[in-house]
Amino acid sequence: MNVYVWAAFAVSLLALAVTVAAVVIGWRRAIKESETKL
Amino acid sequence: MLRYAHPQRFFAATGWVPWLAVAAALALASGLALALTVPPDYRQGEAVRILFLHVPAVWTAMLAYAAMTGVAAVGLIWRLPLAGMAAKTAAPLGAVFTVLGLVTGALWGRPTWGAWWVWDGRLTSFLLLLFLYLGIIALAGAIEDETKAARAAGILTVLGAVNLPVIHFSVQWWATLHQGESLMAGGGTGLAPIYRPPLLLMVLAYTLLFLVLWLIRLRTEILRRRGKP
Repeated sequence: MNVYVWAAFAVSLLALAVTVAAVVIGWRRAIKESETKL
Repeated sequence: MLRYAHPQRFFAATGWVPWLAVAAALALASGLALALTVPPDYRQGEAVRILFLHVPAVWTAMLAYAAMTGVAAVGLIWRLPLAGMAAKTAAPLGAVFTVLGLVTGALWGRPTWGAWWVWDGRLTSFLLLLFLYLGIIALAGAIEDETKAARAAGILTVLGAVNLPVIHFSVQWWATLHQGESLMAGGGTGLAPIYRPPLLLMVLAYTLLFLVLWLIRLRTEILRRRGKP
């Protein structure tokens, strides 16, 4: 596979992984904050 | 349906998100396995594999905007707080998929067209979609009152929806380097049958992933606002 294909797969999977991580971190933080309020 | 428009009821009714995440992960794993193992194209060679990343990203970016337009319109007409929250939480996700569509498009354009970017109708209107997403995110963030912010962002979202048919039909309306419709095209000009399963699986995976992330963000927003007066 050429460098463009590798780059496209690497960029896409990395971006998706970072997005999933950010969303999950936000969710866990909201859970923690809601427990503190209670 | 309107029963679930209440944030707390919606929150309670969407506890099945982890199962949707499992389905998204399975679709992504099988789509990637096929995308990396199908034979190279007789003209494009290995570069054809970028199709399985570019088309799903572009599809999801446009689907996210269409969904945002729907919920923004509902929010403007019926003044449902959940609709404003749904539009607000979808915008950053749509922007991520738009950036992925642009980046994978450039990485595909270089080996096939000899250019990273051309200012034609399809590429320019898709770049405009990114600016719309960024404008909506900025507008929603700039107004402190959440009801007013949702209303202003909703109006911009609905007005910006005119760009969706422009993106879709741009390859028919203007001369372009970008190829026309290929998945549904007949007469032997369509996509080779061997490339359809990985493409459809990746489109399904990206769509499910967007839905999972959107639902988690929406549930997070409901949780965040729960304690507010």
